[in-house]
Amino acid sequence: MTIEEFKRDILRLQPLMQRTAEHIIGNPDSAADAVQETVIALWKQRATIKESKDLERLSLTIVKRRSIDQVRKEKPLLSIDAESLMLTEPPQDDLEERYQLARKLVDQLPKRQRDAILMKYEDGLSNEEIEKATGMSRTHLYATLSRAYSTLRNAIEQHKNELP
Amino acid sequence: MKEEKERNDDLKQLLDALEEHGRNAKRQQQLSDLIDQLAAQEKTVEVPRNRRKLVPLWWAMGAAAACLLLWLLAKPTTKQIPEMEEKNLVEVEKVEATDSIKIEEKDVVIVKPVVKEELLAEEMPAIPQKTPTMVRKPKMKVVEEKPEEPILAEVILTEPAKSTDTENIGSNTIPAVNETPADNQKPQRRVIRSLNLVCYECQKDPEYEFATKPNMDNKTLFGQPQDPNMKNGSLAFELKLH
Repeated sequence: MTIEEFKRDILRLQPLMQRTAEHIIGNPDSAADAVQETVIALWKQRATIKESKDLERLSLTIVKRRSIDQVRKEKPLLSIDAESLMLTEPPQDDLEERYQLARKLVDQLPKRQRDAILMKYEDGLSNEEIEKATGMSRTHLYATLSRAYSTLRNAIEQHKNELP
Repeated sequence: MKEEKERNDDLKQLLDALEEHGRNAKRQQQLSDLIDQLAAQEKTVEVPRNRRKLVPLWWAMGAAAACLLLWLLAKPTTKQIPEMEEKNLVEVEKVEATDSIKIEEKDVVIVKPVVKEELLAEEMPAIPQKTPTMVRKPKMKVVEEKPEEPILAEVILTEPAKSTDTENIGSNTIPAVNETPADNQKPQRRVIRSLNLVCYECQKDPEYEFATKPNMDNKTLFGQPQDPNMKNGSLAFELKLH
């Protein structure tokens, strides 16, 4: 498996590994650490991995073990049923569908409202950073975000009505 | 009121999806950087293993080649330094002068080639000169044609005494008293021996008198009994005089 193939498959599997780790650990940041350790372990075994299916299976096994180890480190007094956790399937998530819908509705907003929403939620910027980036005042930003929320609510309502 | 809450929940889910997607994008970017870093580390660790043996060798070879090139560029040549050329010319002239004198001493008759050699020394560049073999050959031929006769001694005797070096040599080429018949059979050797007997100081100072050979028939220079089988005792004494 080449480096490019490895990177492509790992980025494809990252949401699944993150969800699995979050399901076991319960903390997104600790789950992200477990995923990174899993990627390092997979990189060391890269020579033995030939197919993407093997990589997916191996990544899930490793991320579960790492997550259990992480829980044992953070909560040593907590009794963990490791065998059952190892057998649990990762939770299904419709994140991609929800994101596509959200992006579709956000793209219909006016430019200032769209930029403010994407900066605040997708890019994870704070209000102060958005004020500096856009040059808007705090009051103006609040007003813009409020109008954007109202427009999105109406758009969601309209979208629901359109569904069969 | 309930509808308003549902609408807010829907909006929250929508914004959460945006937020989660943004976080995942950041994490994927971090993972991508991590993989690139791992790949770079792998390259830095593995690639030098193959070249580790060669890299120092190439450095040494490059340094040696650079030093050699610098030395070749900085090396002074005779073309670059005219003083050296002149110095070499002077040295050649000196060599030629001494050679010509030797020729005069050995070949008593030939005097003109001295002038030719000097001219050559003035005109020729700084090239190591060979011994004048061209002058020696005719002399050797003459000697070989008449090996039994002391040709040079006779020629010198026919000429009157003059104030040149060659005449002094001629005057001293008279056969010595203690010369053996074997010396007469080898005129070349006689000439050489006669030349050896001539002292340079003697030529400058006409009042110089040769030291008489002490008669030490059966004793060495140090008074010890002479080995009867030893025949070059007199020759050793001559060397001592010089």
